[in-house]
This record gives sequence, C-alpha cells and structure tokens, in this order.
Amino acid sequence: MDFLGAFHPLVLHVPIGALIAAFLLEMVHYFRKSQALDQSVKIVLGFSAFTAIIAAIFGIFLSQKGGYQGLTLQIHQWSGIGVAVLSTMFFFLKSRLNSQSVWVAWGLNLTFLTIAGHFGGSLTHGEDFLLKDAPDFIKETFTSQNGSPLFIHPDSVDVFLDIIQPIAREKCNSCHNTNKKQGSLDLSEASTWKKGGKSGELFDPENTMQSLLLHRIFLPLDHEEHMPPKGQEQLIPSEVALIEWWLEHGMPFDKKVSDLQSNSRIVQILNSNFRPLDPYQVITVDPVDQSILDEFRANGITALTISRKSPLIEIRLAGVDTIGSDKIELLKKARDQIVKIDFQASGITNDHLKEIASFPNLIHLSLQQTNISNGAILNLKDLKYLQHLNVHSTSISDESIADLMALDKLRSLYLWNTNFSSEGIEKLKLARPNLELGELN
Amino acid sequence: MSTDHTNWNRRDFLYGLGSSIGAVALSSLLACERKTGQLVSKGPLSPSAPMVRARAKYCIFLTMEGGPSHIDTFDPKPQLDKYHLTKFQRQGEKFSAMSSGDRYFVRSPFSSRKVGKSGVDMSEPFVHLADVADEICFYRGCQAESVNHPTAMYHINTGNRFGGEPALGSWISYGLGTMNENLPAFVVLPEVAYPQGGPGNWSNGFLPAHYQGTPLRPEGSPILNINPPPGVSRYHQEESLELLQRLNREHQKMHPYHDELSARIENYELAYRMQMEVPDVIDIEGEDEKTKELYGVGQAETDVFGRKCLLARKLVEQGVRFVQVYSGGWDSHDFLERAHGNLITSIDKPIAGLIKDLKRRGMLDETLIIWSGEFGRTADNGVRENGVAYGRDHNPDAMGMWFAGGGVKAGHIIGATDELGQEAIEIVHPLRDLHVTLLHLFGLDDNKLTYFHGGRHKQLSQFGGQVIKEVIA
Repeated sequence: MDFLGAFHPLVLHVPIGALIAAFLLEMVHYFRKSQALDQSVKIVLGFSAFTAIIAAIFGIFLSQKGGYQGLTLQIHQWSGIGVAVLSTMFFFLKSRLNSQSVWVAWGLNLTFLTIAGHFGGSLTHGEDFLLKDAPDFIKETFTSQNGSPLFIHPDSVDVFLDIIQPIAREKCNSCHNTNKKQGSLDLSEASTWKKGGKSGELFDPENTMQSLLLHRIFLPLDHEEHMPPKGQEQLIPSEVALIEWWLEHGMPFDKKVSDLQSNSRIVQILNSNFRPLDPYQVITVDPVDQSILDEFRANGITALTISRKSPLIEIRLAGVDTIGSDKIELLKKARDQIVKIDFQASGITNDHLKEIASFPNLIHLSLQQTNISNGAILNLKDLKYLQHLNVHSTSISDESIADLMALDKLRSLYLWNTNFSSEGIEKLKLARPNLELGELN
Repeated sequence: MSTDHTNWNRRDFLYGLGSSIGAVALSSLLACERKTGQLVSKGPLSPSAPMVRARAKYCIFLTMEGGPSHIDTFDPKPQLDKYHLTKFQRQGEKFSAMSSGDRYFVRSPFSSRKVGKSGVDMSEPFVHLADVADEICFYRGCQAESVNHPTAMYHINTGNRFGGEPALGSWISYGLGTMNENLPAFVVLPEVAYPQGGPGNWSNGFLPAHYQGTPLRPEGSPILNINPPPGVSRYHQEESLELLQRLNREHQKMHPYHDELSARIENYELAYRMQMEVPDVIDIEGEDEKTKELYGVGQAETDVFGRKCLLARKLVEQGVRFVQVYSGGWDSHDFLERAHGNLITSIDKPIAGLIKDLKRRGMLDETLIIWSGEFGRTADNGVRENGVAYGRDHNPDAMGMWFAGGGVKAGHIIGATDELGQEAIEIVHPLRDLHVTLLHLFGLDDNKLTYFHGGRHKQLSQFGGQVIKEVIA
C-alpha cells in the first residue's frame, strides 16, 4: 500500500489535465455542435473519472503512511474524493442532463478540482507556496499584515522569530510543518523545535557543535540523512553560519541579537539581511494646512516638507537663540508631520525637549552646540522612530549612557566634543556594536 | 518659479495667445504644483522642498583647476613603468595639436598603495587623506569633452562649453533656495588668480540674478565693505538703505520684469542681513586651535587651502547650499613630480580634515563633497623645449574624480580606465551625467528643473542625461 501511495503525486496530474481538456472540448462543442465532439467529451470525461478514482485511492494510501495531518489534509482528501465521485457521476448521468445542468455540473467539478489541487500544493510545498515569490503588491492584497514591520535596528532583532524561523520557512517547513511531519519533526514553532523528531532532540547542550541539527546540515550532500535532502533547495553559507551561531548560544528562543555575542561575520550578515525599514516610508500622516507652515515662517521657523509630495516636515531652528514655549506650542500644530528638527546652536533646553518628546514621528534630532544636559536624553525614550541624534559639543556625559542605550532604534549618534569618558564610549560601543558614532577625535 | 503672474507684459501676452488653450490647462497644472511644491514662496531664495527626498542638502565642490592627473593621484598605472620614455607618433583628426606628433610615455613619479579597509588606491603624497579613504567613492568612468581649460571649466561648472549658462550652484539654489536667508545660497572661494574663464564659472547665466555665486576674496577681508564706514551708525545706514530701496521700488514699478533691478533690491537687503551674520561665519580665527590644526591652517604648505576648507565647513554649517572651493595650478605639462607633489600636499591635510570634521559633527551624511578637475591627463607627453619633459597633456577621455558623504557609496571604486589610463572603459559617462547625478542626490530631476529662456525650457544637462546609479549608495 505504501508502494502504491508513492504514486499519488504522479497519477494525480492526469485527471487534472484530462478534466480541463474535457471542459475545453465541451466549450468548443457549445459553439460548434458536432456529434464527434460530443463523443470526445464523453471519452475524455470517462478517462478523467477513472484516473481521478485511482488518484484518490492512492492518495488515501499515502495519507495512511503518515507524515501528513491536520485541516489541510482533510480538505485536500475530501475535495479529491469529491472530484472522483462527481466526475464519475457526471460521466454516467451526462446524457440525461439538460444543457443548463451540464454547465452547473462542470462548475461543481472544476471547483472541487481547484480546491483539491490548491490544498495538495500546500501540503507538499508549504502553506504559503503560492504567494511566496509573488510581487509585493499581490502579497499585500492576499496576506494580512501581522507583526510589526522591521524598522528596528539589527541589534533588536529577535533571534528565533526574525532570523531562524524565516530560514526554516524557506528551507525546512515544506516537509517539517504541522501537517506534514517528516521524521516526526515539526519546525514551525518554538515548542516543536524543542521537542525534536524521531531521531531525537535537535540540540545537545553537552556537545553543542555536534547537535543533531548541525550534524544533519554538515553531512555530505550525497548522504541520505543530509538536510535539506539532495534535490531540495539547500541552505546557503550565511544561513548555516546564523544557525551555528544560534546553537553556539544554546539555541535560545527568547533572545535578541544584542543578547548574543556576535563576531564580525555575523554582524555583516545581519546588516545585509536586516536593513531596517525606512521610517520615512512607514509613517503615513495627512499633510498639514498651508496656513500652518506660513505661520511657522512668520515666526522665524524654517519649515519644509521632505519632498514636494510628502506630508513629512523638517524644521530648522538652527542658531535661534530664544526658542521659548510659544515656538514649541506652534510646532505642536504639526506634531505628527514633523520628522526632523535641527536645533543646532539654538537656545533649546531640557524642558523644551520634554515637549518635543511628544512628537511621535521624530526620526532626526539635532541638539549639537546647545545647553542641553544629561537629563535631556531620558525624555526621548518613547520616540519610536528616532534614528539620528546629534549632541556634539554639549555637556552630555557618561551619566546618559543608560538613557542612550534605551534608544534602541538609534542608528547614528554624534558624541564628539562632549564630556564622555573613553570608557563610557567603549561601553556604548560594546552594547551597541552597530551604532554609527562618527569621528570622535 | 518666482515669477509673479498677476502682471502681464506684451511678451507674456503674446506667448499666452500663441499657446492658447493648451497653455491654460498647463498653467493651471503648474499653479497646482507650485501650491503643493513650494511651501512658502516669499523671496527667490526662500527654501523650497526637493522634488523627491534628497540624499544631500549641501555640496562642497573641490575644484582642481588645470586638470589633475588621475594617473598620479587615485588611478595608478604600473604598466607605464614598462613603457617609460618609449617614443611613438600620434596623428589623426580626433587628436588636438597638443596630443599629436612625436610623443613618449611618462611613468608616474609617485608610487601608489592601497589604503583604508576598502583598499582603494592613493599615490604616496596623499598621507592624511588615507585616514578617511573609506569615506570616499572614487569614480573613474567620467569623460569630459573639451581639451582647453576655459571651455572645459565652463563645461564642468555650467554644463555648457561656451559659458554664459548658470553654474551648478545657481541651478541648485534655483531649485532649493537657501537654508539661511542671511547668507547667499551659492558661495565661491577662488584662488587669488581667478580660474580660466573667470567669474563666468559661477555665473547665474539666464537664471534670475539672485542665483549667482558670491565669491569671497581669498586674501584680506573676504568681503569688501562688509562693515559700515567709520562715523556711520547702523541706524543711519538702515535709514539711507531704506530710502535707496524705496527709490528702487518706485523704479521697479515701471519695469516689473527687470531682473537685475529686482536682484539689486534683493542684494541690498541680503547685504544688510549679511552684515549681521557674515563677520561671525567668515572669521575662522574663532575656531579652536585643534580644529585649525586639523585643516592644516597655520602650516605653510596647507594654510591657504586649509582656510578655505574650514570656511567651507562653517558656511555649510550655517546653511549655505553650495560652496565651491578652488585649488589652481594642476596643469602639469612638466615637472610633474614637483608640481603635482606640492599641490597634493597642499590639499591632502585640508581635505582629510574637512571630511573628519564633517563626520564628527554629523554633517557628512547630508553634505556631498565632490573632488574633480575639468579633465584628466594623458599617459604620455609631447616634446617640449626640444627635449623630454616629465609631464602630461590634457585628456578629456579619462579623468579622476571622487565623491564623499551625501548618499554616495563610500569606500568604493566605480568604473575603470584602460591599462595606461588613456581612456575610460567601464561605466563610462559624459560630464552631463555627473550633473544629472548631482541634481538627483539633491532630490531634483534634471528634466524637470528647467528655466524658460531663448524660446525653450533649458536644463543643466542641456538635453537630458542619465543618473550614474553605480555611485549612489
């Protein structure tokens, strides 16, 4: 039975082709009635029905063998049996149906065929096989947006969810998923990773580098236990390096990149794969009224949209001695639109910054050559897009390290000519190896 | 862009009639664009948003006048050692008198080495620039068209070899205005001897006169008469300027389309505002000693260029869009080792200092630095003064240039010249593509940044060009 079951993937394509061919012949017959065509439809339909029955039986054998289960299988199984039953009935009853019922029968048959085909495909190639390589605009239409997009710094990436899981989805899950547990192994979520498969647990804490997972990956390609199997898409070296790095740290499921020690190769791989999404493209707001921008200008505030079509606004208050709460109040009128403020050499104070921190979409903040002091940075902790912060030539010092480290979206930080000690800088570099610190001397 | 459409003169009226219904539709479209595009349209130099999000907001164009040799700076050709002093003849229509006749190859007097993590090439006399090699994107594929200095200078500066057209800085200030209305948008720091072609190299051409480059004098006070004469208080000056402006405005009412007149009015206002701002900005003595030392200010070889680079940084920091810094005398037809050697030393430390300073201040991201001459030099030389001269001729087919900061691929070499450095062979682009790329980095589209003059919409590239995608990060 197992032997016959293996023929299911081979046989199943025959009724698909034949049924569609019969339908095409029927359409031609509709437009150009002829006895011969009507006969042909019957012959091809009969052939489809026969092969559909064989395919269904072989399919049941294959499902008995195991490795497949779940709702997807159920739908596939019953819709496949449906195709076999419907096409057989159709073949025997066709001559008794009136012309309208014939089209209804065709519709029913083809619908079942499509359902059986699609869920069969999902079983073999994984749930998302159809849309995996589709252009983005199609994907967006068909998939729900869950999870936050990755506009975070590589350091804050979740090792399992954002790095390992996507690799598995690409290269492992077509065989090791909830429905099709080849070798009783399911690699679709953390709990089942931990469980392992028929050959045992994937991770060996005693001998990390000899763990089953790595062992299978490193076996020669020709070895029958090599994973992914020969003929399937293989892991690329950077993916192997990431998996190795993950196991080296004890195969953790709840750690961020910054929690693990990374060498330069890993940093390089992460930087090229986890280019954070551009917040300029993520933030969607309505444009402010022109009168507000005119009001800004009348009050000595230079305000520009970042491009002629964008609603996002840049503010320049560089060199303005007295900022005053009136100016800050004014800026609040565009609080959602303002993404950048340049306070260079202005009279900005820590108190003003408390207000500025309520501008949710701030990406770029320039505070260099001002009188801000250590307390200032704490105010910025809720800015979820803040990527660039310039505090050169201020009195900021080591006291602000913890507050700076909490700004986890930060990508560049300019600290030249501040009161930081070299130990402080080292500490910051160690904690945030990807943070661009510019030239410090 | 800033033309006032409420007044119509005869010429506009006829243009309007001529283009009839189509023009009606178009001008309403344009009016819409203006409304959304230019947020505040007060003066001609008011800042305006770029067409698309810009990678660069400021530009410092380090112009090496005379044509620096790519072979002896950033594009070494060790093959030349083999052919050194090998004689040959070159004829043909394509070659100028200068590059025809009896010739011999000349090897570089300098050895070269790989520098930085990215391993880019730099000749030995570049000592300090090697520290910042990883910030630089070297481009070897550019080709000029002219072999003569003035025409080649006009070409790289204005996009047109004949001169008389707006300079790069003028186009950019026309497109984007200035971020600091107390300072000009386009400032030029020339040598004591102006470059070949003179002030035409920073002319506003056919653009309104507000967009011309403002040269700062390299010696003495950078701007003459910036301070009121003794005995005149700021109050008195304001009063008399006010009178002058009132008279000018009366006069302007009779000539609403007189460009130079409105520029003059604007200039008086700007000059008055500059009196407040400029003395601070141009006073580099106020910088701390360490910073001056970083640029080589105070050291004999680097003082002149170092001051200009430091001034360029101060100007950009204050919101000047485009600063052009000249270094002259790169036309080494002979005594290559001495001439190029000294020139390299004179710019090496100042440019390295500039890049470091911009970087630590967080300004390099938004500031595009361009280093280029008007053309490159040949691998060979002609017989001069009846004998062998170790120098090089003008070469428009290959040149060296580099970019740093503002959205370019740092630590890369883009394009290539042939094995002797005679001709660009990979990622080859004409100068107009450099101009299109420059505008692109500023968020401006060369095909849309046009000005109606002489019966057609003129643009910097003259007739369109390509963005050099390979240099963009």
